[in-house]
Amino acid sequence: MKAVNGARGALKTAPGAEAARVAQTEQTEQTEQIHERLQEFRKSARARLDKTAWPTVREEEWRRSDVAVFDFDSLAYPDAELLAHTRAERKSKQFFSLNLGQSEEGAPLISAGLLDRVFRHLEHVRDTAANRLILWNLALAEDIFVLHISAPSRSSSAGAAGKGAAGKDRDSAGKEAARAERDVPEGDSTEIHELCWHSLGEDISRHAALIVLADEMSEGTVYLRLKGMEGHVQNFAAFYDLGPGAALNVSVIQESSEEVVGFYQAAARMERDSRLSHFEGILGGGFIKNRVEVELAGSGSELRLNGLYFADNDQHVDMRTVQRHAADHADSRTFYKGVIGDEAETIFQGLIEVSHEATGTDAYLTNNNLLVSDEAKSDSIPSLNINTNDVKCSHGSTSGKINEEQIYYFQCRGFSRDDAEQMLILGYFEELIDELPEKVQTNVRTRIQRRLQGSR
Amino acid sequence: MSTEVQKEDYKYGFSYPDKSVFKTKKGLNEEVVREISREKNEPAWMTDFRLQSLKVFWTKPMPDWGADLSDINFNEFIYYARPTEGGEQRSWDDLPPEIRQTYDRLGIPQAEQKFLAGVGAQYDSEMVYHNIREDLEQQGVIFTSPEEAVQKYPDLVKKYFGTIIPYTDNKFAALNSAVWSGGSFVYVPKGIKVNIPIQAYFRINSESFGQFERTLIIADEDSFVHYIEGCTAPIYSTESLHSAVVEIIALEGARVRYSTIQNWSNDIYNLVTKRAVANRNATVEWVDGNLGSKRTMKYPAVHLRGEGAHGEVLSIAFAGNGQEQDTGGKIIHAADNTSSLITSKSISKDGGISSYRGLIRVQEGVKNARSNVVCDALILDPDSVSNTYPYMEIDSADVSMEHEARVSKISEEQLYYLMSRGFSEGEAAMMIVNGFLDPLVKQLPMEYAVELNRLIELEMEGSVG
Repeated sequence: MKAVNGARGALKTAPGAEAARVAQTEQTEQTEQIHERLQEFRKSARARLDKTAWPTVREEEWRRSDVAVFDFDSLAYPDAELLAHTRAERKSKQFFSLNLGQSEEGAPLISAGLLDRVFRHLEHVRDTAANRLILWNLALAEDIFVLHISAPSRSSSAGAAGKGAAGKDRDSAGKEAARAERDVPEGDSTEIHELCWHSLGEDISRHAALIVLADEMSEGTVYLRLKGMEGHVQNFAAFYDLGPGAALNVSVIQESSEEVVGFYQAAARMERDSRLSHFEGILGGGFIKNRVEVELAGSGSELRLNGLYFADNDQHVDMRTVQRHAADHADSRTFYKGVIGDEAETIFQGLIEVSHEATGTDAYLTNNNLLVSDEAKSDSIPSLNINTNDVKCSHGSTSGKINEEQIYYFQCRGFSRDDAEQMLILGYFEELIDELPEKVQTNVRTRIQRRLQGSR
Repeated sequence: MSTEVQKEDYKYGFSYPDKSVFKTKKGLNEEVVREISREKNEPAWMTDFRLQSLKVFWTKPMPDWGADLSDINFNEFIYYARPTEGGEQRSWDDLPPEIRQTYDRLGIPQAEQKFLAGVGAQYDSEMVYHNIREDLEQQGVIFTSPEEAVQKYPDLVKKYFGTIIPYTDNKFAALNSAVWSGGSFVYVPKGIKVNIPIQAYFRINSESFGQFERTLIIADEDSFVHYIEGCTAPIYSTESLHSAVVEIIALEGARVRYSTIQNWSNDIYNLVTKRAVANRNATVEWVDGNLGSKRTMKYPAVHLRGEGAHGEVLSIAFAGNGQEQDTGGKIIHAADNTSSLITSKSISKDGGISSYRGLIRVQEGVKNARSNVVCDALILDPDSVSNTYPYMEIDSADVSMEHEARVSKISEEQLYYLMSRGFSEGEAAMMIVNGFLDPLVKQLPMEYAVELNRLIELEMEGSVG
């Protein structure tokens, strides 16, 4: 695979060039160590990759989205210049990039303990990857970001108590990091860790991954924005690991242009009493196939998987969610609402799986589809796999069009039909938007409005 | 545990020494199919149909989804056995004594007096007994075996046979199309409403025997018929295969209701293809009770092809120890102003697996399609399994489609309520389970409702406490 070697070569020089700019020797050393380890890992991922095959329509999950048409093997990889200019932007200093070897200038080194954890996690993902696209990502990722959200520190100053502190590394190895302390406000769990990716390119594939490690009792908010342009494959993988009692809020907004073929595949593992709220807003892209799978591995864990999609033109949006109850007394809710217009088609495949040990499970899955044009198509496949009896599991799905009576109500009060439809659609999504961090709300509402206006 | 109960107490758990007169050899091949056709004196076009089907059967794969069918060995079955000389009988007294005894114990004579218009009783693949009431005959209703229909009404058969379920549809439809034997052929003329349900009973009585009945019901314009299929079988230790095909055509304005209580013994594979076409303003209702068998895969379907058509599937599944019920319903909205309703209730206990698998499809361009699907499941103990796989494929905006499913155990509160009024836990559980099924049981004719309640009681006995 010549193209890959070329890219690897390109990747090798880029961090080297940047690291050279950094004055501190420790950082350079650590960067090189991480680099070596990363290359080893990539090799092993490539070995695995070569043993797998691309998903076909014979597999249930891919039946309605034929990816063979994209001929992944024929795609090239970004050259060094494109890479340098369009890698994902870290809008928060807490993100550490394995490829670049450091977070921001002046940011602490990543501790050895944490690094071990990260690589262990990566190895686990490599060994249990759900499909070839994830392995493809691990082998070629331009950036593997690590976000470590640590628990609130007990010795910190006023204000931190009761709030989760995001960012400061509390490992014993963190003493080394003391030398490179930065001035990030402590105890600010309201900080939104934002990652924004303007991926660009024609007939190439781009890959990036994010690992979020949320320590025991920590709290954090993550905001991912996927804003690709031009006809390329945008392959993003995210892994969320929640320690006991951790609380994590994730929003992922797909706002790419319609030439982009986007894959967002997320896997999360929740330990005892942790809380995860994951929101997917699909407001862009041409062909989207996403997968969010969460294992509720600790008792008492609480999961909210929310999704909003507005598909128009000839978009194809395929979403898969999995609520996997492995421990007792966990609580999960999936709630996905979509509007489908023009000639778009959407597929929602949700699964609630309850193992034999997961007694006291309370799980719910809802999918609502609003079809606003004659050619719109929508498939909804909510499934249940229940292997024990002491549970409360339900799912519901509806598909329909805008209620004429409601339009009439608006028209009687002087609104045009168009305005009425717009208001109704915004209202329809409101209950999902309302729960998001304010910054995300604004973005989502703006995009929905643009889509509503654009189609008139 | 429930199997033991059946063996000792359940009156349907018995068998008679095999009196089959003619049996094909074990295994499936072209010669077997030709023999079957020869035995029935079929015209060449039907023989060809069978042979074509056999060819297709060999090319089709086994399904890679659904219940576990890995133990089926097609070469181990006997595909045809004819029990008596002289073809069909006209009255009970003409039947050979053993067979008559079997049906006496099943309660047919009493039932016949009260409710039935006619009974076709099937013993090992042949329509042995057939009795059609005179007034039905006068109305022009045809109720006979498919063999007789092939001989006497070839035009009707050629027009509809295999058109709803072609032999290319799936592996088991192909199998049935090759070796079918017995079943019913019903034709209801225009405007005729058959007020009394038509029934037929089936039995599998030979070891390693397959049952491949083929039913075709044609309801002409504005007619109505209610057909009831109830099956029982004795206990056998080797597997038996039941692969039936039921085709229903409801022409304009017609209404057909097809009720089944399936209670095959727990060593039988029950893989059935049932499909109806509803034309303009027609209605087809499937009432499907699945209580027995080792593995059942059955998804009664209605294709709503005419404007204003309505389709319903009411399904009950009970999966006990070692059983897998993979059932559901499929409705395709292919015309405007169509509506559908699927109600599914399932119970799993003692490690049984019950799955609902269904499809609601609305074709592109269809206006005003309305559909409602409700699936409720009760899991009675921690070892049992319940799955739901509903598929909604909506290609039109002018729809109102709702689906909901709930899975839970028997409510502690409900148990407590009944127990505090003097019932034992076992009795309380039984009442709750019967109440859970009640909306569907109410749709069945009385003797079926009674049989169903008795069967549930038997299944529930000893399961609590």
